[in-house]
Amino acid sequence: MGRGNAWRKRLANPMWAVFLMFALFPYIPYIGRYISLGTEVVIWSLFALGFNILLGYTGLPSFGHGAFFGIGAYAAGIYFLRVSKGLWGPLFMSALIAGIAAALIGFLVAKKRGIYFALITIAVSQVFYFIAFRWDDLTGGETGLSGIDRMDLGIPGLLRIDLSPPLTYYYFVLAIFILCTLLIWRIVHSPFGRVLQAMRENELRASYLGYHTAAYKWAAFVVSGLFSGLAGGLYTLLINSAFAFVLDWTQSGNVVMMTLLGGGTVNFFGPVLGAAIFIVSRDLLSAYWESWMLLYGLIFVVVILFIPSGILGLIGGRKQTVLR
Amino acid sequence: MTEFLSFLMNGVVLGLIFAVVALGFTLILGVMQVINFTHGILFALGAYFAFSMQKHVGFWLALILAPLLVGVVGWLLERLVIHRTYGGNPLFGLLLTFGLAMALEEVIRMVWGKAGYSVAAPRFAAGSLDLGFMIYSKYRLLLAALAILIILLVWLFLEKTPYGAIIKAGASDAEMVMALGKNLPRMRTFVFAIGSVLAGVAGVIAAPIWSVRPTIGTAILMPAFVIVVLGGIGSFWGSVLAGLIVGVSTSVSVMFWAQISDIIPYVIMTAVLLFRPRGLMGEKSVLEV
Amino acid sequence: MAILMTEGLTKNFGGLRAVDSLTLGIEEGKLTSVIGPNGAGKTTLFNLITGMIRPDAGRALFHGEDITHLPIHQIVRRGISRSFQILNLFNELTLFENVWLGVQAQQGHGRELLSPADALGSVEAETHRIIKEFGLAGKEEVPVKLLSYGDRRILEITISLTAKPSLLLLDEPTSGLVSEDRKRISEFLKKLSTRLTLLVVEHAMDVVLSISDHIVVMHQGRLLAQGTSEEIRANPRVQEAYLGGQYRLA
Repeated sequence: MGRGNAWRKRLANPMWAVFLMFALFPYIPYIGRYISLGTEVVIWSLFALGFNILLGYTGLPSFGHGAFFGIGAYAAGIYFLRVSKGLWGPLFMSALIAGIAAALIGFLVAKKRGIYFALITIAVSQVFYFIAFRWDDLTGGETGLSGIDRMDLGIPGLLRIDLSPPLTYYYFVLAIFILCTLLIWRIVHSPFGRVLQAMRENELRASYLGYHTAAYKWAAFVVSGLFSGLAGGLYTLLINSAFAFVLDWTQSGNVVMMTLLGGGTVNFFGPVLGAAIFIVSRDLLSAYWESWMLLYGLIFVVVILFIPSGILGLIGGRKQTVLR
Repeated sequence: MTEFLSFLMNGVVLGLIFAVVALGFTLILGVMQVINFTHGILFALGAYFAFSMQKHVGFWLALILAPLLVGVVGWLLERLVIHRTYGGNPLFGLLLTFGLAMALEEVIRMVWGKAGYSVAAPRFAAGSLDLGFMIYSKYRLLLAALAILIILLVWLFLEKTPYGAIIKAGASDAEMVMALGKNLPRMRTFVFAIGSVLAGVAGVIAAPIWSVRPTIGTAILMPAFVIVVLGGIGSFWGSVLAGLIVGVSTSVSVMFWAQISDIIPYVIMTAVLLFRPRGLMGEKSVLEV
Repeated sequence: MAILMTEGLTKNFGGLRAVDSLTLGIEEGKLTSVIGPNGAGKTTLFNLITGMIRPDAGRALFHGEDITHLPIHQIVRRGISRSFQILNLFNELTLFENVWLGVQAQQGHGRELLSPADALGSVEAETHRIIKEFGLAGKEEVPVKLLSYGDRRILEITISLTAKPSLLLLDEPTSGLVSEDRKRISEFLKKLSTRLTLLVVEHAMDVVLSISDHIVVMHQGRLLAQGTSEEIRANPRVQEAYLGGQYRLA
């Protein structure tokens, strides 16, 4: 393959369309007037992409991933309030602490799969909810943490950007999202990423080829946890606070739903589409109908029964091998 | 000392309720391989049905009728939607019931309102009883006796009936069930209904000691998960034992360090998982493959 | 010199002794066949040797090293690979990807998170070489689930070989094949046996008798007899065990 050809292939990647769309997001009617909703979509897209390393690429049905988002959210808040007021410090800590938590939980679940994996991830993730809820001194308990400001983004002596306006923060989050998306794209298309997909297809055979499957599952869990945690940190800076509800188990359900809804099991960008539809429609629904949860719950039912491979699965044929 | 005893007794009572809920949950999980998120809602429905019925039919009749009604709801859910997820990706059943639970909780809010109700204990079981070594609520003693009775009935069902034999064998295998002359879809519906009845009856008997509100379904679901993981999936006595452990440890820790009482069951579960990945009494499970 | 030794290997399933104190030595460089009626414990033996299940008693030694409690992947890395009786492939992936994954495992690139997988020239070259060597060229992009059964049987052996084993365990490599394909595999195994040690479970007696250097007969988890084709053919106990069974010793 010639060099020019390779570049053409790179440019044909739908990734650029996704980035462009997000760049124009604030100018779309309705959402444009309401920037923080757009920011939330981008944050959840990152969360869902990170989650999909596990669900779509490794085939592991984690149902406790909200824990890592929540741990990231609290890590950022606690670091900001207790250690050092900064921008990068809290964000770095959100990924790091969530990654450490994922590494620990990973030991418990690395040898499990299927429904047993789901069950244990649900149960274990609950620990963090209760910690957030009860450890008043650290997490603020029921009242949560507040006053977590967005500090200026600056290159010393060169420029200083005030991130407190919603629109500026939106583009900041988008920039991080783009970097992370490129990174995740790289990871799932790396030799490591292919091993994950091999395990999804046939774990036993993968170990008979000589792969230490438990270690790969653990590593996938950690990588996925890092990105989920970073998303949580960005969320804390979005709402300038952290509450125990970010650790509620329904959050775990939501990220699974977004990922499936968009078609994360058949397409790299499925989780992004799913997150966008999910967040925006939830916002619309809850604004117009008090009992929106009824409809919302039924949408889960409809998606699972009728479009289990998600919207992109529906459009792009039933099964696409994500491998090549 | 007496204070400790009453915390301990409360823990046992709580543990027995947990055990009944977890038995239904693990039955459905073991036979259909569905993590049933509606289980908590079925528990809540039991409590609400009992609340609405007791004024008209009294405690005992409501104790029979409300769980049966919950069984019918379970039967409907299984027949209408849940059976479609069998044999698919394990996440499908989980997400489907997750959505159903969300919708049904909203239905409960629409029918009974957002506020909580308190359900009175039946008159004959009001007040306390002097046990000699302590004075304890009559209703909680009745509740414990009922829960034990239910657990024994489930045990008899599993040990002494042909259905029980199939369920114990973990018959997700259509061929085997057919070979035994049973109709697999019908058996699954039946098991789902039984599991629902168990959730419902636990809701009925627990109603007088808890305030009945729309969120009790969710509140009971998480302990059920923990108990099943702790006790070992598909293990009858594992569920009962784990139910008691969770109940007692939660209740007793309130006395010593209330703040961490919610976390204690999870700590125990995690510790057990580290040393016995299959749970206290779990066998190597078909679910792991 | 025995490359693999089992000493008193025992495995119970419930009340059943699937493998019963089996002591066995597999000669290096030879093709050894394991035969025996259904339920004789042949596949269980393979599962025990390769770390898929743990024995209740006894041990397995490979090149003198105790491998009884090693996990599967470590046993594979020490040089024991296997194929399965029931095809065990990455069905949704293409033939190329199946082989590629094996070659990558052997070359040890799996820990690379940030380099593009497509850029691994040495893995790609080796994959193409192997596909060609095993006569599967031209079908690289076909998803495995769409390959013919015979091709999938070959692929099952092919990807077991990507680990570059010194001992290869083949569980009924001709199972379900028509006689032409069986011949193809027999030839293939003969050729293979000049390169490495083979341990083969096989039901097709014509294949067994024509390819084996050494034959081990198992019956109800125990070692019934072992020897050359001629010795086994002449052994009265073997005849007795097979009498009335579905297999005739021709």
